[in-house]
Amino acid sequence: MVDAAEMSHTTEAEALEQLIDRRLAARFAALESRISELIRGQDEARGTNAPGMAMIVCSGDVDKLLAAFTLAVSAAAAGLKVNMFFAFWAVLALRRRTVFKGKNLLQRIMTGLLPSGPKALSTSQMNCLGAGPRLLGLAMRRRGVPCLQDLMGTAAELKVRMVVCETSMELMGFTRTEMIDGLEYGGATSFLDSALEARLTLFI
Amino acid sequence: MEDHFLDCRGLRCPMPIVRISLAMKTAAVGEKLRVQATDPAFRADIEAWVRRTGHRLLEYKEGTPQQAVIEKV
Repeated sequence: MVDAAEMSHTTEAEALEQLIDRRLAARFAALESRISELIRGQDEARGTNAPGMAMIVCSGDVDKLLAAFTLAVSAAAAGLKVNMFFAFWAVLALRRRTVFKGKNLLQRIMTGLLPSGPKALSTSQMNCLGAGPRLLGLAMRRRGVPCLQDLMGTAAELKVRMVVCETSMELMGFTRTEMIDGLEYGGATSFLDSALEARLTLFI
Repeated sequence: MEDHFLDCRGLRCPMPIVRISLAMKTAAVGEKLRVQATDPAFRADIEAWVRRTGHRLLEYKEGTPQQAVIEKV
């Protein structure tokens, strides 16, 4: 009899212990998930608090684009969050190929006339029917200055955000399939949003 | 003795800084990186870069090439 009573007592105690364990485990799990949630939030806040640089790149001249990308890459290398918004002629630098299919006459003319990619762009001065950019490229290579194409690659590597003005792109008759990879598409409001958070804003 | 070595000779602005920033990303805190560079703007750039990022410039020597030792903080 005594043994049985003792046994039931023990099982009761065990059951109680198990119940406490379960409740504690649930409580701890909730706390742990809350803590990791807070840590994530803190990391995100730290990321968004990094000073930012917002640029409107409007020019399609190779020299101005070189300036824009040199600054963007330098800023990204120093830990700044960089946002580049490409409007008007600057869109040409981000073009990868030429597509005529499915376009109307006006769009086809624009597509055919406008240069495609960093190598086809002209300089703002001393262009001389394309001799200027070639000479500039030669001088840059000799001195180890990175070319526009290299800088664009580095910018992508450093996670510089590149947003294309969709209206400019359409105005010139381009489609997204003609553009390089890794771009985002947006409008003026999306630029304003990033510019308001940035400490530095440039128009090139 | 430095933990990492980076040869930036022949590279011009902004590439030495880009290479350094990428190298520092993979380094652990407290590790040191020795850099050789020939870019005439290197001194001004590396000094500004450590101010911006908070890493420490332990040593800088003029010459050909210029030598810098940076510690990851």
